[in-house]
Amino acid sequence: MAAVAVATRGTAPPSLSRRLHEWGLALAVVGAAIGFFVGYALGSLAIGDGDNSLGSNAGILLGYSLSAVGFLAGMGFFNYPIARLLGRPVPTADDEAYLHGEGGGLARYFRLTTDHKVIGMQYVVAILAFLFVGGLGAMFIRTELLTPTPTTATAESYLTLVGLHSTLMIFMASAAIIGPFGNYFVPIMIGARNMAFPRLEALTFWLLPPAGLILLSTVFLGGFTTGWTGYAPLADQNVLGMDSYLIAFSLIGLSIMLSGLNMIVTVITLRAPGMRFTRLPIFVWGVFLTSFLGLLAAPALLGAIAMETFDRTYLATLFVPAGGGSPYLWENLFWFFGHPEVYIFILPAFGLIMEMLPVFTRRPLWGYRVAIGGLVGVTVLSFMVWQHHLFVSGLAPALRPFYMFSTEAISVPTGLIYLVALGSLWRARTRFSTPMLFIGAFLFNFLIGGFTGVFLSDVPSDFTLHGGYFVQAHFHYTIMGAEVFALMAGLVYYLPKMTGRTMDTRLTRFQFWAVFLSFNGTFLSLLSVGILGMPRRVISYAQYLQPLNVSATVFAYLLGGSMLLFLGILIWNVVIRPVPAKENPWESLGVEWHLPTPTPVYNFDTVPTKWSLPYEYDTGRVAADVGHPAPALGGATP
Amino acid sequence: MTEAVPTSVRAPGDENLPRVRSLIVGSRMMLAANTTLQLTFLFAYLYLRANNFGGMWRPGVGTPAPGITLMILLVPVVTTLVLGAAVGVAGRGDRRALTRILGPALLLGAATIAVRVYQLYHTGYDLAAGTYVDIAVIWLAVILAEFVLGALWMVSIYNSHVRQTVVASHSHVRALFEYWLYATVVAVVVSGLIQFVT
Ligand SMILES: [Cu+2]
Repeated sequence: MAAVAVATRGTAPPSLSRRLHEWGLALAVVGAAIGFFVGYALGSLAIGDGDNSLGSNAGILLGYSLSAVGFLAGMGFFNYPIARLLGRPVPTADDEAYLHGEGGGLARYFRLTTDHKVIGMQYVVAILAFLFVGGLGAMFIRTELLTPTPTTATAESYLTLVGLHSTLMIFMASAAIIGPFGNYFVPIMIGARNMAFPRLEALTFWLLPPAGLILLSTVFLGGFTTGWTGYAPLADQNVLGMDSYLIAFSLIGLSIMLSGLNMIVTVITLRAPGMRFTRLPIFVWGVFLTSFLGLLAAPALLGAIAMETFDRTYLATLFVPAGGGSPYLWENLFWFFGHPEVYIFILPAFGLIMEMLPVFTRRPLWGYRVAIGGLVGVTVLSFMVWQHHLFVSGLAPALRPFYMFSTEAISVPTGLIYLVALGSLWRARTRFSTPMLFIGAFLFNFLIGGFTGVFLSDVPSDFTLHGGYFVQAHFHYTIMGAEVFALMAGLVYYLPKMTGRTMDTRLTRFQFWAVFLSFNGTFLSLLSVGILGMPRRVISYAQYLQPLNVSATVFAYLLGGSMLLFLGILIWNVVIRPVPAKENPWESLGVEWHLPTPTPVYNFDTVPTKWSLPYEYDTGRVAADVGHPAPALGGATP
Repeated sequence: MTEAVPTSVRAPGDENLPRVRSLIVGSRMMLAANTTLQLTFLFAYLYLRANNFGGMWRPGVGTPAPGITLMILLVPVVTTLVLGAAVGVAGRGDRRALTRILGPALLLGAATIAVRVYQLYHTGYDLAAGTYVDIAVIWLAVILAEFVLGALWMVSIYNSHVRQTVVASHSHVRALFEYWLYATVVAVVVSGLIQFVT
């Protein structure tokens, strides 16, 4: 449909390559299947004789890799590089416009499209899908833990269940804020008409479906028992299901790294004239700094996974003590990625929260530069703390004080960010719209997440809390209580801009209280069983822990229900029975709200050259003049 | 509307075009990411060496023959020099001269791949021979992959230049040169490490 619309721009009928592009998703599925079988055959023939375990490992690993390659080839990701390689003419402006989805239409959401706004919407769907499947896993886990002894699962399948839930959620969390909102709004906020590397940006999204499916396919290969951290030597000993984890996580690592690259370069090179770094909206700062974490941390994961696959296919022993290797090596490399990874989750959420806050307090963001300082501080320090995950491992006790203090030092820049939030709220006549409720819950939940983190950064208390539900509740408070709450805040806040449709106020208010109370009910219960000594990742537990576990499960069901309610409201109000949104429902000064809805294909007709911070609610000045009749602000200073 | 999507890299003096700046900044950012990757392997190398778990770091394994290693390193180094010269030529905007110099660079790039593949398969190592061999082999494989990417980049610049679809600009050639230089420095350092810090 869209192809026809575009083709009328030129004189020729749609070319073969465009027809193939239309069918990209179908071709991608075919490509993935072919890739898998070719890879499997090559891998098992080249390395083993087909039936020894090394050969089948290599077969599965190569099969998965080539299936991802086949998928991307079907989507059309190799057309451009191959054309460049052969020195063929560069795409015409018409081709680029077609790829950008200039013709509009629903079809562009289902194929390789280089419009960052389309990619942002694609991410919304993918993130919610990951959240849904990962959430189902959580429900199964809580159901199993209703009783102290195994009922529905075996000890081993339970571990796979935990591994699937955690890894899927990590995938989700890696892009939950940057994916939808970073891709959609960063170019607009900096006055750019597109990203620096739109094809790469599309690639970061299209790596997610193969990663998710490859990970889930582990159930056909015996699962994996390591959880999301993939610790050796268990990873070396695991059955073929481990290979799913390795390939899926490397695809996600690649996505994180390339997303970082694209964002960094976009912010550095494509800011509009007059858009200085000191005028960047704080959300853009959050995304920009997070992108450095992704760019510089993900390669450590990729390197470690390369070593692990080497162990599993070539009988290398990098992580096997009997052969001179060391599990500590994996643990160090993994956490050198893994700790920055948790800030990849939370920094964009901080940015988004601080971006929305002034809209509801109707005052300038208090301490903009302090906020940048806080974000920079967290970014830099997050590379220096990874061994706090290894306090009880027996590794290098002499290093513990350093990692304890560096970890505790992170509370200083984090505290600055908090200070900015509190300073913005201080004596403000805050409008408690639904996004503001979520912002408040974010601050509350992250406070608990942060405080519990201090106990884990402290070596003596970590010795008693490590490996238990206290840790589990801690990171659920930060990842779900903070990041996912920021995601919900962002969706309620930004969907009117992204879709022109709005989620029902009453329903979302009710949903907010349901999700807030059930979340805290669940994880306060789990915090308590953690203090009482219940270990993570174990299917059975002591009898006296059952009441609290039942409480956690009941609240978890309510939590699951209220998450479903959110999804239901979203689908009902945005897709099934669209409720048209006002043009600037929150009366924001941000430039994104002063463009027409839907946002024009290239964002700006003429790029504004005079920019200010979008927080000047005392003067009511819009961040930039976009030449679009500004939606009325109902009294900028109430 | 569509002129917002620049579609070709233009001639010398194009450094201020956003697209070209993006290319330069982007390729340097990739080198930064690459640095983490190299440090990952460096950490693994030094960690396994320092601990020598179970005496299995290098049980009875020799080092690669230094003569062969030097020969192998010579090829990417010479390629780097030729690419450096190409940067100068591209800076002057002499298209024909650039064609003449990119051809040999391409051949040298191919030769780099060839000698490094040879190196990977003729280490004389037995893969069950300890972690020194394991980490050396996978590290060399990663470096080989980086040279392959560099060579592919060279092919694309060369082909577009010769077919005159995209004139190889100064910044374009310089970004390639920086990439290749980086990979070569890594190759030299890693070879030195494997040879002398055993
Ligand atoms: Cu950590």
